[in-house]
Amino acid sequence: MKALDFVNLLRKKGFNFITGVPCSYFTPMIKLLAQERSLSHFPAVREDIAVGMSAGAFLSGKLPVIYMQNSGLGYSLEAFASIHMIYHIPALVLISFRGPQDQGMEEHQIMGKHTEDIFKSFSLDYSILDKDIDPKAFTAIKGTMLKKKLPYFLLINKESLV
Amino acid sequence: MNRLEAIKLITSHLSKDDVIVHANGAISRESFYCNNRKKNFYLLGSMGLASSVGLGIAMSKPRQKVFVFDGDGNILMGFGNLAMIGTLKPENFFHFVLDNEVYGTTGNQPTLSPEIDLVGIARASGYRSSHRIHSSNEFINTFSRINTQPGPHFILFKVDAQVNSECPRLPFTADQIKERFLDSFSE
Repeated sequence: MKALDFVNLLRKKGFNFITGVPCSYFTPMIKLLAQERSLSHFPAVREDIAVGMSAGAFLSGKLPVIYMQNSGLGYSLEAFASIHMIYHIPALVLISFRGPQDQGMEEHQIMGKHTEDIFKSFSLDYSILDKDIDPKAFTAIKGTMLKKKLPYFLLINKESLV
Repeated sequence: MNRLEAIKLITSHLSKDDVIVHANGAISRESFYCNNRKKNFYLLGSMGLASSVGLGIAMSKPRQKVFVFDGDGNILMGFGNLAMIGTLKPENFFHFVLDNEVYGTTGNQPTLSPEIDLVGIARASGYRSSHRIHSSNEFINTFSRINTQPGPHFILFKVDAQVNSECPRLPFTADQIKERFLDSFSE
């Protein structure tokens, strides 16, 4: 889907704080965030800092989004476990699904192979965004996230946000 | 001065509306023990991330004064926080580092703090002011100057390594800490 449509969807659904660490899969979206006034954007230098900031934002009445590569998920999993999962803080987390569609990039293969296992073993809700997302499905995702007061992870396939 | 005395001193100069985000371990426990306020947010784990949580609050509520009570071990774990705070420059951000030069909660293993100029790193990262203080008088002089000046401010408070064993674990769950903190804004 178009990155612009996705950013508009985030905004319309009330998300108003976004922080994260870039991935080439997110380049079009990040470019748009610079112009989005109602979705405050705070680029982070490390994924766990983005996770911590999103918690502070939620404690201040914001609805946060985090973005990162699955490599960053490995780095920041403990922050989700010891902040969001015990204080019950919702967030929408966009994870670029590096690996399966990155043949020849050895550095992404192991994390890519096990990314879904991580969600399953931590009992974290996730779905895969491949090319498009139905607005109704997105509403349901937001509902799950708020009802459970937990992060909801969207695995973003290559060239799905263009 | 020991850390408990330093925490008592700092909090006695804060208003009841000021938010304090606490690093995990002894800092949370000692602050809870001597001054348990509803606008205290305690991290039970996530060492190194108290300033990240504080930054998220400071950027979301620009009129809310946000204090972070950190330790030297926390700072050494995540210099990226200093880079972000120094460049985003939240005017409402006061970063206290209770520097005892050890990992106190885990048995006083030494940190690198005596070898590193943390005050200089904060200044170079872009904090509007950065201070090293050792005593009650130095705190009062420094804080009375910067309290009304735009931050971010970095205040390294040198404290003894002595751990106060009378401070128990917090009697709250993470959910209770969060609910109490959120409720404090609707009062």
